Amino acid sequence: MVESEVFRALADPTRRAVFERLSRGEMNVTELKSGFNVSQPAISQHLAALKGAGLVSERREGRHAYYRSEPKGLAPLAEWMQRYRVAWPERIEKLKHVLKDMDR
Amino acid sequence: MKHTDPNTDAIVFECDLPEPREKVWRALTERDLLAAWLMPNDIRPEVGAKFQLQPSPVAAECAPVQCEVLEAEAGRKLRWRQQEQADAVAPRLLVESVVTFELSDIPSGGTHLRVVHDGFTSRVTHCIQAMLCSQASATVLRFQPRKVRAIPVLHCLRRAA
Repeated sequence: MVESEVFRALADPTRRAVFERLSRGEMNVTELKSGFNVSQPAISQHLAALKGAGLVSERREGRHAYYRSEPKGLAPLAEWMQRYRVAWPERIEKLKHVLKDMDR
Repeated sequence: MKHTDPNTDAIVFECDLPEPREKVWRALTERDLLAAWLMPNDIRPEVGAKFQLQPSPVAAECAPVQCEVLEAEAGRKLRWRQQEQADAVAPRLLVESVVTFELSDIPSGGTHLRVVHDGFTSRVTHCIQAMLCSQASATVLRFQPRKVRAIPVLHCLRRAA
């Protein structure tokens, strides 16, 4: 379930950009907004989606909220890449059998 | 923190096969043979040819992988770009990557096969890399994947729990 949320959250180009930007350091919404051509409510919505997927965390200081990317949230993606690493040796083992069978 | 760990965005696999290059080439480029070890397909080993890798019926929720041949040097090198849905529930997110097979002779008369799977596009990988390059990345690097069951179509994502 979490994996799907991560993919869905990152499926939007603006959210990906927000996520990447926040991985460079903590920012508040105003600082974050300055780099994007979208409204503050839109940025807030993207942040909410990223938070929901565990990709961004929020720290409150009085009236201000600061956001940063959460590396742990990427674990599902790392796992997804890992599947490819597992897949190739398995595929090559099958290829070896196919090659042997071609002799018959 | 290492910024240029080659393992973060490329998967490389190498092995020696007893068969000659021509035979290995056939197993990579003839539809029936490729289907027997990879996936049902309509491959044509010509530059620019588009083909599909069709996930098996057990993974019917997965859309076919769309491929395009980038290089095809008979008996030597086959390279294709592939595009697939990252997730059945997030079909808008397409992941692109490039698969390269290189064949070379070995003294025993067999073939050295080198498989490189890389070029994962920005949509997913840049995010990963951004994190890998950041101070906080240790968490990701320490991440231990759960045991992956041996399914024939590994590109098919496990369905959301």
